[in-house]
Amino acid sequence: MNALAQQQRGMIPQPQQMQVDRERIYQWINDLSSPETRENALLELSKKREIVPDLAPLLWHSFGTIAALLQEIIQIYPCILPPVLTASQSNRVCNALALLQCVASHPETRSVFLSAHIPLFLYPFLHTVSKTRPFEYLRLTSLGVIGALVKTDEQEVINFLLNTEIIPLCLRIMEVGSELSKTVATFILQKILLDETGLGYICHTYERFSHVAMILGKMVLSLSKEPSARLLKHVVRCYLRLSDNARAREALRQCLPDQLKDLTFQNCLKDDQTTKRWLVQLQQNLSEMPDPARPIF
Amino acid sequence: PSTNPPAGLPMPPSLPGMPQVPLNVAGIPPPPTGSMAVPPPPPPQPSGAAAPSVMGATGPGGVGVAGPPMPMQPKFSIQDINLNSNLVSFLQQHIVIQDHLVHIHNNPTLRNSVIGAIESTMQDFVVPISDRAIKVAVVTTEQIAKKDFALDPDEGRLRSSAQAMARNVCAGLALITSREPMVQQLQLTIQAALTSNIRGQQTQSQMKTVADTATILANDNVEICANYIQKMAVERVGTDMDKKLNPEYEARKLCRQENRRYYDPNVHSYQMERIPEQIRLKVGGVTPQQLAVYDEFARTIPGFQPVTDTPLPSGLRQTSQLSGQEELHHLYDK
Repeated sequence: MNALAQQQRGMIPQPQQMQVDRERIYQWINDLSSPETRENALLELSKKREIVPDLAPLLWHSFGTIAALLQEIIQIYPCILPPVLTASQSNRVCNALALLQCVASHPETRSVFLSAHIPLFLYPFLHTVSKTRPFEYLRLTSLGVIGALVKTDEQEVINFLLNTEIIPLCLRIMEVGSELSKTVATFILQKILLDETGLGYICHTYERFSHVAMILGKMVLSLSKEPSARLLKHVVRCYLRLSDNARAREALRQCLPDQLKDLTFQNCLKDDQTTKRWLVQLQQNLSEMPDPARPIF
Repeated sequence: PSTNPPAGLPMPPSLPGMPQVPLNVAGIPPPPTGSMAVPPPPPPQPSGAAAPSVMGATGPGGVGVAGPPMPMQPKFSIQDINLNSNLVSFLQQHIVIQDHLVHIHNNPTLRNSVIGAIESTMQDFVVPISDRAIKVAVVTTEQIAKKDFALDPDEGRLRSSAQAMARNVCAGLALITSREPMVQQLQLTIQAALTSNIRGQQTQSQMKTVADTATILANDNVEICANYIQKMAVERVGTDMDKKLNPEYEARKLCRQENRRYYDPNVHSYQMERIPEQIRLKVGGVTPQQLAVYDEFARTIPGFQPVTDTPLPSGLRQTSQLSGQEELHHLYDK
């Protein structure tokens, strides 16, 4: 191992594939345990997380590492209310979150990450409303961790999330967040909806459905004033998926925003064939004759 | 996972007063296309000076000093919160009433009425907040401490580390989940209590004064209320943690009785196979240096001043009750 690392150090770095000094990775992992050496280790490891494919299991299975990352999160709770988080505190905890994201998205560590309930510790950050940059960045990075979880399309992730308050948190960010936060939050909702259990959960009562539909409707309205193709894409996909549920389909016939039926987004979608196709599909789903005998909700 | 907090829906009412205009995201770079990766951090700013000025309205702990905002300086260390007396006498002792609220200071009826309002609010929050904090803290700590100490035969070390972590995590959760709902509720109940003491018809300006006073009192006292709930939760979490980890303790004791050295064989073989030597768990126990993270859990409990006489997880946990003299001293010190 050592010899190999020495050898790697001597190699000329390839522009495409940066060689990683494994010895230093291990040192930084050990450094995380101790509060004195942690800050630099957080910074260095979060920079390397893309290029060390087995970083997640190394983080999980080494002593004290996950405890240290959790400590970083809990230590800043007193700065959340009242909102006094500084930029450097925000950067530091976001580096810890970046490492947790790595653990969340790795197939070998995802399950243990969930069974330790670590996503719950991020929810207080999603509750924040301060619009300063340290908070915006904190919310976005926290959403990124949940986004990385749902991106895996694993049933256990959806089951976990449905037992928590993530849906109302996402809906609120979809309503009032920055464009980027809205996009990630809508992506999370979309992934939940794409799951059969998730769709059933949201369409289970009229209150749940109508809250989601109300927020999506507001987003369409605001997108018609300030278009964002990437956000619109997720919004349309959410609507299309809702239309797979019979009762939601009936309800959407009444409440689908006009902007999705006319040419409002023609320009915004001119380079996005996929979303255009989804929109056509959505309109088709809604235009099929409703069954008059079927009660809506 | 079956021990999750209550299901997410019903949805909360939408927040009033939030503008629909896009927020200022100037500093946040767009995400890598198609990836949910964490964006790079905002460009570094000079530390200290970088802080946004959000401390305009200073809370109880934050004195209105100019300069970069500081996180609230906690008023108490966790030992200061004495749960031996009942809640009312706790509040009698610790209630914060600023000097300019003379009419409440000097009027025992009003003062008691405010204390009664705070007490009734806290009664509503203590159980649900601490129950949830304990539940999550135990699950999380169990998973993490178990894996960290899987090759450690000393149940004492596992226990004290798990206790330190569970107490810290529990206190953090109780703090973050209680503050916001509690400050609103405190405002309402204090306002109602003050109003009920006004005889006859209230004028518009009286009502305004009462509402403002209630807001001040709510903000000034939410810290002590949160601290009380945190301490309640922290005192209870230890038992639950021990219950959860008892099979682990027993397995270690059994091995010792049989003159074997305890280790979890599955973890051991995984570690040997997959984890490089430099960061591998070793059979036979962790080093004091490794324990630093658990020591830190014991030392800095969120919402409280750091514990100065650090009880190390490797050593015996210091049970902390101040003597009456110390308690009095502290009270006059404020």
